Amino acid sequence: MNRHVFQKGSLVTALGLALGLSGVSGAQALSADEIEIHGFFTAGATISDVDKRYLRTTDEDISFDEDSAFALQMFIPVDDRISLQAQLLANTSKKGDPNFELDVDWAFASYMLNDNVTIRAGRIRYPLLLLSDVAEAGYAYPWIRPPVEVYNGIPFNTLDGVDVLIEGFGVGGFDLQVQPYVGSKDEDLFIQSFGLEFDTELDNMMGLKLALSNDSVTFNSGYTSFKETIDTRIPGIIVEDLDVETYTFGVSVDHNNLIMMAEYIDLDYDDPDAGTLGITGYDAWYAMIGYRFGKFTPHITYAETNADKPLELFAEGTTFFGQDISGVPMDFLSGTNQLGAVSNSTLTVGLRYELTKSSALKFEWSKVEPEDNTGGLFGPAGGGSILDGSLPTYDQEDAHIYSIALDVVF
Amino acid sequence: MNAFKKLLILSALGASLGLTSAAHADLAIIVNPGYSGSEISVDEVRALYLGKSKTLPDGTRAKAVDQASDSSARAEFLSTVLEKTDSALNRIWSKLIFSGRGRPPEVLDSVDAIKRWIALNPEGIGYIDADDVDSTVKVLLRVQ
Repeated sequence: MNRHVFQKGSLVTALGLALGLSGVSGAQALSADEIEIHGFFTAGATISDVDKRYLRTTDEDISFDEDSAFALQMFIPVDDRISLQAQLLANTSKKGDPNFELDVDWAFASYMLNDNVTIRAGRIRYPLLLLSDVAEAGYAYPWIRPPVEVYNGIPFNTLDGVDVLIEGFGVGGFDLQVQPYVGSKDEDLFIQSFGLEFDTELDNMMGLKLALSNDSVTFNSGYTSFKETIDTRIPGIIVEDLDVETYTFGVSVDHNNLIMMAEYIDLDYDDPDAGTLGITGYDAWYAMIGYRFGKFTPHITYAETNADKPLELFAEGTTFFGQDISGVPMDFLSGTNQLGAVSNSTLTVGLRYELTKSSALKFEWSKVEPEDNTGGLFGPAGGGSILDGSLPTYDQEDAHIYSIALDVVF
Repeated sequence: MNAFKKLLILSALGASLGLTSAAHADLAIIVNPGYSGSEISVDEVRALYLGKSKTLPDGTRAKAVDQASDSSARAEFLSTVLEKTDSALNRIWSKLIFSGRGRPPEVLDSVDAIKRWIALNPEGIGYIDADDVDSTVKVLLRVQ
C-alpha cells in the first residue's frame, strides 16, 4: 500500500484526491511536515432466510447497510516527537440508520518518548482483542466481519483517555508489546427491544494489553475493568456503578499458507444484583481455520457466547413511561451489542478472493442459532419494540445469513 | 510484426530460459554515507519494511523508502527479502495503519529520487539494483 502524502494546507485537495482515487499514488513531497492519508472502503450486502432482524439491518430483504463502510485516516506530523492521527468513519449506526457522513471514530495526539515508548491521548480504540484496533477495516482480516459473539459483546469500540504503547523488546524470539490504558466512555446505547437509546457511561476504565508476536504467530491477552451506569428510565431498575471485569486471550497463526485464529473473552459483573437488572456476564469464544490457495482463502469459523444467567422477564407491575411491561424479556440486547442475557452460536463458512493487490472480494454463509431461550443475536420476533406499543418476544429459530463484500484499501 | 514486438518476444523467451540476468540482479540495501555502521541483516531489513522495527542497527531512527509498485527491483525485494506477496504486504500494513500504529515506507518514483533522498537524509534506508549504486550512498548489504 502506498502512502498518500500531502503538504499541510492542501487537506481539501488531499481529501478530494483520496476520494477520487482508490488505487495507487506515489509520494513526492519529502519534508517532515507532510499530511499522510489512507483509507478503506467496504461495499457489502446481506440477506437472511428468516424474518427477524440480525445485527443492525439484516433481514429477509437484501440490505446494503450492514457491512458497508468508508473511512479516511490522517496522519499529521507536528514535530519530530508529536503527531496527530484521526480516523473518520461512515457506516451504519448501531441503531441501524445508514450514516453516510464521516464521523470521527478516533483521534489522538501521540508523543514519542523514545524509540520504545509512545504516549497517546484522546479518543483511542478500546484494545481488548486481536482485531479490536481494526474491527471496521475488513481488508485486514479474512471475514466480512469479525466473529460477532466475541467482538460485539462490549458495545464500545473506543475510549476517551490515555494509553502507552511500549514495544520493541524481544522475548525469546518474540516481540513484546505492552499497552496500559485508562479512560472513560459516555455514549447513547440503542436498545433494540425498547426502540430507544439509553445514556450509558463507563467510568474508571483501565486495562492492560499484552501481545507477543513473531513472523507467524501472535499471542494476545488483555484485562480490563470499568464501572457501568445506564440510565434505564425504568422505575426500580437502577444500573449504577456496576463493577465489570473482562479477561481476553487470543492466538493468531499465519504460517506458510495456513491461517488460524482463536479468541476467548470472559466478562463478569461483580455486583450480585446485576442479574436482577437484566444484565449478566458471559463467556464467548471462536476458532477459525483457513488456507490460502493463491488468491483464494476458504475459511471456517465456529463461535459461541453463553450468558452466565438465564434470560429473565420484567416483574409484575413494572412500567416504562406508563406502559405495563411485565413479562417482557429483560434484555439489553442492542442490535449488534449485548449487555444482557444472550446465548448464541454461529457456524460460518467463507471465501476471500484477492481481487487486486489492494482489494478483496468476500463471500460468507452463516448458520446463526439463538440458545438458552434468549433472542441470540437477533432482534425481537416480528420486529416490535416497546416504543411502538408491542411487547417484544424472542423465538429460537435458526437463520441462514448470506453475505458478500468488497474491501478496498488505499 | 514490428521489431519492437520481436524484441519483446525474444526477451520473454530469454527470461523464461533464464538467459537474461535482469530478474536475478543483486539488490543493494543503501543508507546515507554518513551512517556509522557497516552492515545490516536481512532480518533487520525485513523488520523495518514490515513495520516491526523503527531503528537502524546503530540505533538511528530509520525512515525507509520504497520503490514504485511497478519496478522490477521492488518485485525482487518482495520475493527475496520480505518473502511476501503484494496482498500479504497490504494485509500487514492495513493492520498497522488502520490501528494508528504504523506508517508505511514512503514511495519514491525513481532510482535517482531514492539515491538523492538517501544522500540528503541521515536516517534514510532504501534498496536499489546493485548496478545503480554510486558514491552518493553507502551499501550495507547485497542481496542475491
